[in-house]
Amino acid sequence: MSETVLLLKNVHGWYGQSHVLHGVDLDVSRGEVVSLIGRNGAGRTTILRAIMGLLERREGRIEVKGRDVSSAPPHRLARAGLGYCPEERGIFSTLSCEENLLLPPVTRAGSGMIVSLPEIHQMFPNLAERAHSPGTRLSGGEQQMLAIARILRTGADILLLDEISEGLAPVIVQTLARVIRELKSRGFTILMVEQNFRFAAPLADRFFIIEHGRVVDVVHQSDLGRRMGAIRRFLGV
Amino acid sequence: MTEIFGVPAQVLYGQLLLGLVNGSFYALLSLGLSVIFGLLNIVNFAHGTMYMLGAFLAYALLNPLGLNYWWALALVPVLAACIGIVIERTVLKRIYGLDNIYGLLVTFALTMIIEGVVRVYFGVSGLRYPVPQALTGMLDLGFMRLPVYRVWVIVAALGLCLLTWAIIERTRLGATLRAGTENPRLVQAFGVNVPVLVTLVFGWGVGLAAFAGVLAAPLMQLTPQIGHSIIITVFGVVVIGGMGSILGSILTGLALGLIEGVAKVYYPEASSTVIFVVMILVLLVRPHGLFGKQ
Repeated sequence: MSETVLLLKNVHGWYGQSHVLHGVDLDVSRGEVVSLIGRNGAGRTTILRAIMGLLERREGRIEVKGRDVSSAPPHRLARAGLGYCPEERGIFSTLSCEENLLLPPVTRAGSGMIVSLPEIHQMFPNLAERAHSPGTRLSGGEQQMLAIARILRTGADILLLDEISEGLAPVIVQTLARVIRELKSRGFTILMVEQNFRFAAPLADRFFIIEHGRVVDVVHQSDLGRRMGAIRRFLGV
Repeated sequence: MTEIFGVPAQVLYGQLLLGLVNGSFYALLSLGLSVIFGLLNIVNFAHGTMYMLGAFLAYALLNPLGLNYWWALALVPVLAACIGIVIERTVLKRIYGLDNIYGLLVTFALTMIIEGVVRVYFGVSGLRYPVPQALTGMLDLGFMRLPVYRVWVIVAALGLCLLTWAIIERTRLGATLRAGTENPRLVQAFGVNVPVLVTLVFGWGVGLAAFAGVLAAPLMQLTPQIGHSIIITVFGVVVIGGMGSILGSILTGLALGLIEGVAKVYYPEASSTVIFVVMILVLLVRPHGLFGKQ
């Protein structure tokens, strides 16, 4: 069994008064791709936000590479190796494409996980062409690529990707799937939230099924065929 | 003698120059106010007080300490920025996330306190700060004569405005600042220490106000109230220009200074209200200001 790089123990989370996460237990190993699946409103996005310290109130324990980061301020998490791509993509309208790309500071220079700018431009050729366009003038697909690309050059080795295939044309979704495979082969650990099960199914090593703010089941890639019925029932499809 | 709409040209030029000088102060102050509001979401009523404090610190450096104008220009913004940083770290950081009205109330209280302290030490009688030797005299342009000091004020203020604009629009630090204004939590999630950034921005904004205060010191009677009238006008400038536009603040500040100058010539009764008439008109047509975004 390889090293656990991200561990959640009995994590509770709140939006204002409403209690949305009810004791999430979750573990991700180094180099693994894990997908959180479940219905809308099950709490998957909230789990990522809880990990990034973006909830107003959170309880429970979160460890990154064995270190307790439960009470660390949000800007410390990037230094622990977390790279976050939010659901709404978070492209800044007052920044050009290139400024958006260069915005996240390099937090782990010696990690060996930095994807260089030329490599990023090779992976996402559009970003080089649109370097000087304002961030929010890019197409939805380009914005999504930008949101992923900008966390690859910081040295982060654990990527939290929230609904990256949402609302995008099939050809772009295929590009993203290729990118995820390449990132996995480079040794990145990926925790992704996906509504599009057909996108996540061939990519993830394990699937955590989330319902009512907790993990209700874990399915391994090898069991996927056998457990399809159960997954369909949880997803309500 | 040449007349323009029944007013001697010399008089009009003189008022336009005064308008540009005032406009430069408006630009420097509204710039800081706008940047502080953008990142801290605080309507800093104490901004005018920092301008006043800048002028009095310059006076204090000269009078007991014997440090001249140029020392004041270099040291006072730094001193004021340090005071600003202490205020931000101890007072303002406790009210982030609360309604804007708390920021306004707290900074109004700070205004009262700082003014009170200045009044105790310097009185209310109106002090004079001399124009530095090197900047006395007149510049003869042929059609009019300009006091050198006023020209210097315009050049120095606009230079600092442009420097601030360049930092915000053209550097990595500036990009981080713009991003922090849009979505501070995400910027922090990327590993930027946003609280430190906020502190530095507040310090910079206060420094700009104090710099304006030093520039203004030789132009007026120094009383603890000089921050009051200017801050109200500067609020008007920021509303007209629109929050969050750096260039907008600078251009609006200058333009309104000129409009005030013209009003002083043709209809002096309106000179102190014309900015607010413009403000109402702009708000009717463009609620986000001339350069503001949604």
